[in-house]
Amino acid sequence: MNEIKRKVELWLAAEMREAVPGSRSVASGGGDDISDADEVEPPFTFIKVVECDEIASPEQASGRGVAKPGVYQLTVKVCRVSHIDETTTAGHSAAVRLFKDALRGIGDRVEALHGGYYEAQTLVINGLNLKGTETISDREKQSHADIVTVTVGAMG
Amino acid sequence: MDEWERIAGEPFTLNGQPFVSVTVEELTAEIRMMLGGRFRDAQSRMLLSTVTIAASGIVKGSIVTVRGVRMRVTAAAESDGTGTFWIPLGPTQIEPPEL
Repeated sequence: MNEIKRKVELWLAAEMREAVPGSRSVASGGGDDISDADEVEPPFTFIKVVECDEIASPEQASGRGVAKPGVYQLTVKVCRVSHIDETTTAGHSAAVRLFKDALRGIGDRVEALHGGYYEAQTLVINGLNLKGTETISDREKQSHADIVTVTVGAMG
Repeated sequence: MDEWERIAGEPFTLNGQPFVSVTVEELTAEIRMMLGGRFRDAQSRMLLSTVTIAASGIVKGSIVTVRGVRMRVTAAAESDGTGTFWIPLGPTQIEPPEL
């Protein structure tokens, strides 16, 4: 399950980076455009799979049989992380709106294409639905996150 | 950098504009504890004249480059009682909140 989580996080990180030009996106395990997701200069997009349900188990190739990928439904938190002081600036709400629109655009594109195959991750995305939004601030870490929770159907 | 290093007339930049501080000090854990308050979480602090503060427009949240390192002003300036002000500086990087 860790492999599919990682694939989906990296896929969404790449999509968000493309959808918001000049932005930085990192998966929860890091290793994308930076080596460590723990310390990044804000604002940046942070992506973390928080739940992963296996709908169908992957099957190994045996004899003349063909290997089948597993089918999964994942709950993913896609966060725009900013410095806690920036939440009161004039540009913050506009930037958050841009971030949410970008994510909505990815969902619309996946729906219009009825999913897609992402070769870099050998990953098939069947759907992406926005489920809800929330915000979290952490005074100790000086960070603020505008979060959109999405569900992703994937095979990989 | 040595701990508690003082270098007079240290240059820094803010929004690409060059300015000169009176001094820059790296803060050790012991010194941070001793200073407390707004310096409790600072990595270093920079002493600025009122003229430099006014000219640069430096405020809490500003990003400055000191000795080639980008740093964030973590709190408002604190007067040292002689017409100059200490500016606490911390890292620009942050961790995401716990999800």
